[in-house]
Amino acid sequence: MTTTASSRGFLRSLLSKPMSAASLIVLAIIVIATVFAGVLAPYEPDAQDLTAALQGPSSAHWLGTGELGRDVLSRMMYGGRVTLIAALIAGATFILAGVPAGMLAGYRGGRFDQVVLKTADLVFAVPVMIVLLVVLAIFPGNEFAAMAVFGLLGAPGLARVVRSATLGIRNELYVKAAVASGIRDRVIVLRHVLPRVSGTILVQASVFTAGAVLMETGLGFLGLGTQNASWGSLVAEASRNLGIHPWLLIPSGAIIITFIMSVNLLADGVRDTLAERYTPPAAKVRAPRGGAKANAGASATAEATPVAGGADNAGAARASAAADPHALLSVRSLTVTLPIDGVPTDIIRDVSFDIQPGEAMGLVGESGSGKTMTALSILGLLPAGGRITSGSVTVEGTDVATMNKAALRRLRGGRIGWISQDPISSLDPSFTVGWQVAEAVRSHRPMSRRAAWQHALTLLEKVKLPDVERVAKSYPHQLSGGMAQRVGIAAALAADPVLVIADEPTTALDVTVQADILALLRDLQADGLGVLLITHNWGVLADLCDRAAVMYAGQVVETADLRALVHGPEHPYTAALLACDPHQARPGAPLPALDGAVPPPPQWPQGCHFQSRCPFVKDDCRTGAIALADGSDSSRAVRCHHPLTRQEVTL
Amino acid sequence: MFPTLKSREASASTTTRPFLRPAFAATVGVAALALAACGSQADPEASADVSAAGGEMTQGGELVFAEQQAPPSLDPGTLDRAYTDFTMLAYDPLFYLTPQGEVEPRLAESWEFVGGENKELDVTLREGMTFSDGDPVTADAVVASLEYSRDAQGNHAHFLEDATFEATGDLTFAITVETPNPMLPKLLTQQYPIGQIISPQGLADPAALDLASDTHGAGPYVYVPEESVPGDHYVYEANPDYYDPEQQHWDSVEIRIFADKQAALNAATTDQIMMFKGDGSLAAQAQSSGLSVIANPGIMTGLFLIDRDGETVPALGDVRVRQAINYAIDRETVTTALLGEYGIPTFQTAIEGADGYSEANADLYAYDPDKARELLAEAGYADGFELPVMTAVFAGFEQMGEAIKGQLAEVGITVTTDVKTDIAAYSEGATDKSFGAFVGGYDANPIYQQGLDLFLPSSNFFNGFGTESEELNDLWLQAASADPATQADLDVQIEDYLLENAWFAPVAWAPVMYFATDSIGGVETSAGSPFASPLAWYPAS
Amino acid sequence: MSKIIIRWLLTALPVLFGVSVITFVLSSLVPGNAARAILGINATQEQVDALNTELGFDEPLPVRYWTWLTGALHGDLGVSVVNGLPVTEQIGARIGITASLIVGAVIVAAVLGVAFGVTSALRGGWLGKAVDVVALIGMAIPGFWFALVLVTVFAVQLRWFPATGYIMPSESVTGWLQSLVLPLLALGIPSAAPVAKQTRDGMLTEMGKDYIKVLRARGVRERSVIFRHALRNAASPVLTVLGIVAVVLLGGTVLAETVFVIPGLGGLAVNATSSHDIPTIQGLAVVFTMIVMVVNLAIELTYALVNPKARA
Repeated sequence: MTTTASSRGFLRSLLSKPMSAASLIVLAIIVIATVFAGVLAPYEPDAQDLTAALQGPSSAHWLGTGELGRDVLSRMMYGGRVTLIAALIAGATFILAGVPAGMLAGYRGGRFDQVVLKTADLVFAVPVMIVLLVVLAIFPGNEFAAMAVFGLLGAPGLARVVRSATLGIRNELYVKAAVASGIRDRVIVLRHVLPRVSGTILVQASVFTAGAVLMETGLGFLGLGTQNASWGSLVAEASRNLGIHPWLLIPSGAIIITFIMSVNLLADGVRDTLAERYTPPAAKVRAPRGGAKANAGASATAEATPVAGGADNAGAARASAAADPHALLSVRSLTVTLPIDGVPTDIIRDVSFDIQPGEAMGLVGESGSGKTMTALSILGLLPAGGRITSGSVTVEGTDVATMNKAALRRLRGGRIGWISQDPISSLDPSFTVGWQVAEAVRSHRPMSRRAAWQHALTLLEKVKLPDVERVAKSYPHQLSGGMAQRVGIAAALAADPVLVIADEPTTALDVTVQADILALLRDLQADGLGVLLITHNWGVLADLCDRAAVMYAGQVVETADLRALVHGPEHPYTAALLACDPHQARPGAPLPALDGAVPPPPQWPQGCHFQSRCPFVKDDCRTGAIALADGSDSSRAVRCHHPLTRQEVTL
Repeated sequence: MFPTLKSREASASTTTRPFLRPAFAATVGVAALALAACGSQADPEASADVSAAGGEMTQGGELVFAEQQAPPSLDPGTLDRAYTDFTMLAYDPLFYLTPQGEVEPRLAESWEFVGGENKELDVTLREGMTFSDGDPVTADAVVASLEYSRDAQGNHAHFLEDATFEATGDLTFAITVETPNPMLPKLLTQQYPIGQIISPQGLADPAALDLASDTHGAGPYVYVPEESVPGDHYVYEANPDYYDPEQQHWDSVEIRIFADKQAALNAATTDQIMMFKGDGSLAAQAQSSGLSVIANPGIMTGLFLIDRDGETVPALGDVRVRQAINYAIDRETVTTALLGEYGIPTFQTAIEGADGYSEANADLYAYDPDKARELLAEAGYADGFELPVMTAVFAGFEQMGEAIKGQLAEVGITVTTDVKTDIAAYSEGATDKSFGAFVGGYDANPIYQQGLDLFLPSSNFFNGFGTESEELNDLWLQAASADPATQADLDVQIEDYLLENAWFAPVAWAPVMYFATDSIGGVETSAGSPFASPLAWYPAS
Repeated sequence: MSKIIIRWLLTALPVLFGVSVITFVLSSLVPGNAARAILGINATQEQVDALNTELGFDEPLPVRYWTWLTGALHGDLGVSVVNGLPVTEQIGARIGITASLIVGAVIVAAVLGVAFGVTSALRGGWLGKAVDVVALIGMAIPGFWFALVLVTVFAVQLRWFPATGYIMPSESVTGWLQSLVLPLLALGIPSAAPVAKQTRDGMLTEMGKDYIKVLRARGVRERSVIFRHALRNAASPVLTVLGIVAVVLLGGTVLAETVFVIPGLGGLAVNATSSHDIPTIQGLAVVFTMIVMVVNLAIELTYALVNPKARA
């Protein structure tokens, strides 16, 4: 890759951004007008027309005239030289002092690195303006000295940025290899490091130079800078004539604002272009998990109001049976869509299951199978843009779709508790855990802070935390994962829910702690609490659940009592998943693994979603929607044209 | 030789150390002469009619007005006249100059020249006055104060250089001068700080006559250091022991510093201040905002060509070059552009009809750029030359400098300007020979005083290179001791000499402009008194 | 707590020392000298020499610095060469005004910035874009220019607020507030831009985090989720930005005080610069640095308050 080729490519992708291209054009016009002011300016900067002072725009003077009838446009063009040269001096000092220091610090490390970092810290606290005034008090009117000092004061900041960039590159393999092969440092720095950090330097320096323009014009306005025409002295002139001829404020302010905005926009463009170059192209299609982050630029997670869908969509073959009014939770033919890259896409399709009071039900499947999304849609907490397009979620006989915002809020936490996967990150780091449990209490029961605190302590005791007083006053980062998960469970139980949804509650924990948490959940269930356990771990499932639903690519592919499911899976996916369970592996044999990955929603095939990975796939698996049908007995259901028999499984 | 000519040596021997001692636009002229000259051309608004700025006179309230430059101290003995407003409020002068230019009694109840030579002035003080610090106002006290001001070597001490003072009674004293000086009472009015009297307690420690201490005068107000922020605002309260409560028009006075005229104008139009000094560029806006404009074109503004021997700018050593500069300036246009209706073009140092005005040379330097180019070519500067000129941010000098720069560029002279931001740097630039010429202003004074300030070798500010002309010295000495008719004739000869040798390149008589709201009365000026005194202002309803 | 203060002192003292040394060394390079500036044009060389001796200007630089430093440690920053007043006294008379400007402007910037930032983070869409555009312009607008525009429109044209000046709160509280409105807007609005940007970015990050989802799943009220939880966690980097804003504002006050003719430290600094009053500008440099340090400490302490991890 030659430098010219790469810089050409860089320029092309930079110019493909309209904002960057526009800024570049504006800057080019300003720079050309300034550099060639001698040829282009309609008048000399000091040429006077005493009879035409302080006039508005006219054909003779496009931007009008200032004091003594001097042409504003010409003075702006010539004045740009003074201002821009001053800014360039600042920018050059900034680079000359900051880049070598930063690269050396990042490349060499050690004491020099410490010195650079410490200096940057210290210089950050120096009030820049006053130091410039000191310089100007000592060297009256010597703006160039002031701007050089401005550059010096900024340089440690640049050094810090360049240092960390250099450090990153220094640790890359090919640089390490170059070092190991004895290539001289100077060569490595010039050939490998400098080209990579030059973009960062360019961005930093241009933003800094824009700042220098602001500073220069400020000094010019104060009358402390140069006495020649400059952008700052134009503003000063405008200020002197504010009452008589306020028009002068417009061109003098506009040129400064335009210039700085263009530089900043261009710098943004360069930064983006660089980011594109040095990061591998992101996968175009993202799994729905974390969909909120995928759309972070537009909006954060918002409450999605479930919409009751009337008719089934094309994918949902099985007719929507009536919800079970006696169940704690009854999900029927649930289909959920979410915009992925702007296209509304089904991420859950035709999901049905029930949970009876006191029952523990498992939802099992690989990552990306839609387990969590299913759970979130139960609570009406889909990511922004997500909606239930058909089917229903019924909690204790009430369709969630009919609930208003307040009822939904009471449902969450009040009837259904939520236990999340990563206990530490699901607690707010800024509050004590006791406070957070108490807040959960107060969200559902009007009570005083003190009473809520006491209740929180009781809950913490209930989840078998030791020394609850101390734990309650701890911050999340002071707790172990297991303790934090107990806190999470306590918060989930704050308003005595009838059902808890536990989303992989033990995945992030140590094995010994896992068992404790599961025991706790088992105890709670024994007390009559319904549990919906989301997991990909058969062991966890077996520990807790009576029944399970296996999900694959947004669909439930099989439901059955756990024992029946484990011993006689009827869907090939269930069988494959079971085969992967390390607990079932034969000692000495290699750990079996499931080839391939769950297809993301936009790539769901026609027919069976599992077809591409299924060893038993037949032609009829590739067409038409496949319904969830009764399995070998009425207590189980399977979504497969060719359910397995027990023999096939043992084979 | 006259002692005045030795002023440099005299000042060199003093040991007092005032902080900053700038010279500014120098001195006030003889009232009668200037009055005769100016009355007819003054702007209608600038008349002596008291009603021009304000309604009925009332008493009380607070006077708030603006000044452009902050004083370095409050010591009348050393301060430049540019700061006299700050001291006159607290330090009553011996005499009072009315807005119409007449000298009236103040601390002095009566005075007369004795001996018929204008060399001895006998003064009688009022009875029963005290300074604000409790000291009684006696002849001894006044003599001590005058001696202090003479010896402290402020910018105006040269007026008293040859003076001796002697108390002849409790309330009477005599001032004796070696050179006849009929202007003496006027030089001891509030217009110059040297005429403002300091109490014995104050003189005991002159270093404490600063901005952080109480004042020691017998004036209508006392300075309140606790409420003042030097550099921003200065607060005065009525002096309860003042001998003439009728002259105390206000309960308190606040002077605020506005370095920026536009900001001052904004403040005045929003009734934050009652009065400020400015220049012609603000006149139209001020009038449209309902402010009164009080102006008298009494300051000769333009280029002072001080390097007449060509020490640093050889071209200026050639009289033809200096003449060329005078020909090259289109004074009508520049005056209109910078001063509008408030300025009068001039190339003479005397106002038309006043002492020294040369009828013979009335059209000498009519605008003639061709002639200027010819003269430059003759002098060997056909391609022009570079002329470093000092200007300053105050008194409109910067804009005047820029205008002159534009004019001289037309005949090939390249002016490089250096704009000074404070009086100290400006004074230094005028006298340290770093500029061949500078833009400045000097008020309309009789030729006698012009000698002291402008063209004798001893005039330290406007003659920074100390140019000396035997012919000029002789003429001035003759005129000083001549009878009035001969003196008038000699003064015109002096003016002719200055014009023909092009010592200066004045551009216009510029006004000191005052902008007043209708809540203040008594802001008025005349050619004999171009600077308005806060002592004269009163609340208007 | 004490750890924070010790760490702060380890930065503050070297910076103060560095700034004072640098200004001292720089001022020893002054062309001409202070004695000449004090004595004025009429002084003889002997007088200048005598004063130089008296003021200690003929001592070697380290000795002079030591003298100055011991004085400074006792609160004596020397005497102005322009008006002979003690520098400490002049600064003392003005520091409150500048402090109230900075504090006020930081509050304006924080309130406006956070309000816009939160709104645009939650609403997204055109409001988010508008905040982007305003932030972009805000970072490009010269503060003094904006101040002039405010004066022209709201003081000179509409006459809603005084154009210039500062009224002591002891004189009139309403007058004080009125006199502060335009300066605070002039300083605060452009400073709000980076605050809004940081708030928005921070809120977007926080709102995407697990604990927010969990809080909602617990049925915590949305108001509490946003303001009590998300905003508080987004606050740390916003505080850092506010610290930077306060330091930049210190420079901004120099210009704003000039435009509005406010008797603060900025005006003093400009006067001292234009009249080459070295002792005053030196003292100001030290005091400005101290203000920055105090702001940094305040930020550190608030940071610790907001962020329990920083308290350790």
